[in-house]
Amino acid sequence: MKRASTKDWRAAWIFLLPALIFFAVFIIYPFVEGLILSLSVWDGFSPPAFVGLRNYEELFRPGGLFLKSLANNSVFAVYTVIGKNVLALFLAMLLNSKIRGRAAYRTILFLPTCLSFVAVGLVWGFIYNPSFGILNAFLSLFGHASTISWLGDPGLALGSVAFVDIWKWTGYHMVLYLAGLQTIPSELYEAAAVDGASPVRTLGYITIPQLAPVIVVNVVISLMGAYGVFDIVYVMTRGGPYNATQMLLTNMYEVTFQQYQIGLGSAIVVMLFVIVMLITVLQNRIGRRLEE
Amino acid sequence: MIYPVLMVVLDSLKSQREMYINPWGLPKLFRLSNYTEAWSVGKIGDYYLNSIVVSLGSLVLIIGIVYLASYSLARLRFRGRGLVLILFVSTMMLPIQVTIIPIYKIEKALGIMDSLIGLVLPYVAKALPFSIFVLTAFLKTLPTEFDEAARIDGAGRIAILIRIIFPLSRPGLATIVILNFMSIWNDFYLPLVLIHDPAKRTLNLGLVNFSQLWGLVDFTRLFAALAIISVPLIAVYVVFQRQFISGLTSGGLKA
Repeated sequence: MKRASTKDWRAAWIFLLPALIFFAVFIIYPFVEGLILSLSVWDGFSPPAFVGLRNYEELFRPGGLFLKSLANNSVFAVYTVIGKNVLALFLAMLLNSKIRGRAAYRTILFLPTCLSFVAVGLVWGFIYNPSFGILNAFLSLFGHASTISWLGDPGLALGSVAFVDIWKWTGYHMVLYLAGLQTIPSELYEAAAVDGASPVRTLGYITIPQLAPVIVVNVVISLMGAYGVFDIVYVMTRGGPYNATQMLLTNMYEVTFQQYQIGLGSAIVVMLFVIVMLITVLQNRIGRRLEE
Repeated sequence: MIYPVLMVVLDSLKSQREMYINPWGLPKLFRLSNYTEAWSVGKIGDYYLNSIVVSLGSLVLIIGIVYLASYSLARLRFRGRGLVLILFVSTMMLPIQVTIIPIYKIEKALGIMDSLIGLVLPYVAKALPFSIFVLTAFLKTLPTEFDEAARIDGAGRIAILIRIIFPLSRPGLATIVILNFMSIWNDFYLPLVLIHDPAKRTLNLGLVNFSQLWGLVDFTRLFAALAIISVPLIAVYVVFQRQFISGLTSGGLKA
């Protein structure tokens, strides 16, 4: 017996070895190195110089681009988290009722999840095109010609990009909500119907409380996605016009790989990591409270 | 919801002029010249090959490494097992951008920048935490009687690993394959940062360059390129939609 367990021990570490090597070289080491770089000034060529917290002071300088992109990113997060979750829950409730062709709707609504952000961004860039885009052509059908510059107007660009992100991910969240809805015992709805509860009260007193854990998961996923957004913004607006759609990671890309302020870029990444950690902590807190 | 996808396919068959005159309707005749031009002039064929090599290479490594690690974590008893699991689980949520700058530095030092292997290695690393989490949970559901019966029949450790448990873990592996295939195939960030040689571009990176080249003047060719890229993926999705939907949402459902 003892012999078998020493053998187990040796085999276990041999099997784990490849994973641990990859993990150490491409996750742990870069993570630590990133923290160190965020305390340095480095242009990628000359040796890095330690500067303490100066990069972070630079980030939080009032009127700086980082604070602007953090603000933009937070607005983007509010738009997309609310948009995706409200729309997804609504669609999930529709599909949960007995309608014909439910499977087909699910397939179609989930489809954009599988497409790349690049493809999605390029197509929507065309739809939004001010002179020959489909959206303005459609709006022109109702009276006077529309020439709105959806991505070129600093007041509209953020909302326009957020809409595309909502379009891409709503189907994904809908599937999660649908799975959640199917776990709610039908007796609850039957009892509500017997009591003559209105659909709004049924939603507020049965569906939403029963779904609370699923809502938390969906909000957390969409919140993480919002602060990690890059591809779609890069493809559609490059952070413009006038930085109106500048996000944390588009800002980081410019700072790091175009201006070669690698230390400053690393500090932005550390701030992103802090945001992800805060979201995780919040999720655990709320999750624990829901269990009680 | 589905309209943008239809629009791409319909407009890709039209001529430039026809698209402006008739943006809504069906194309007058079925012309494929946009496709042939996108394929040859736009080099979509080369980009396809690069994407396939990167995705397949990554997936083979991911399956092997994840399977071995998960087998160890799920079915062997050893000291430090809990610690290793915590290490993997705690980095599950880490976005790849958090590690990109040092990865860029490492690849420069190793001389694998601007190569397909330079994409494969970080993709494999990125895939490990969540994939190991999923497969370990799956392997724990397989009864240990399988191993014991095989051992009594005289099968060695390696035989059990490869011939008994591996075939049984196919459903768990399918989830991992779909999840990682989608995220690697659709990834844009890593090639954008790590690939500068035009010959090594993957599909998404190529597409962005393509759009900068032709996008503002020649939407029909761009749409042909988009259709070439998306339609096979959509076809695979429609055929395996149940596996796709459950695979891609497994992250949310397990959390």
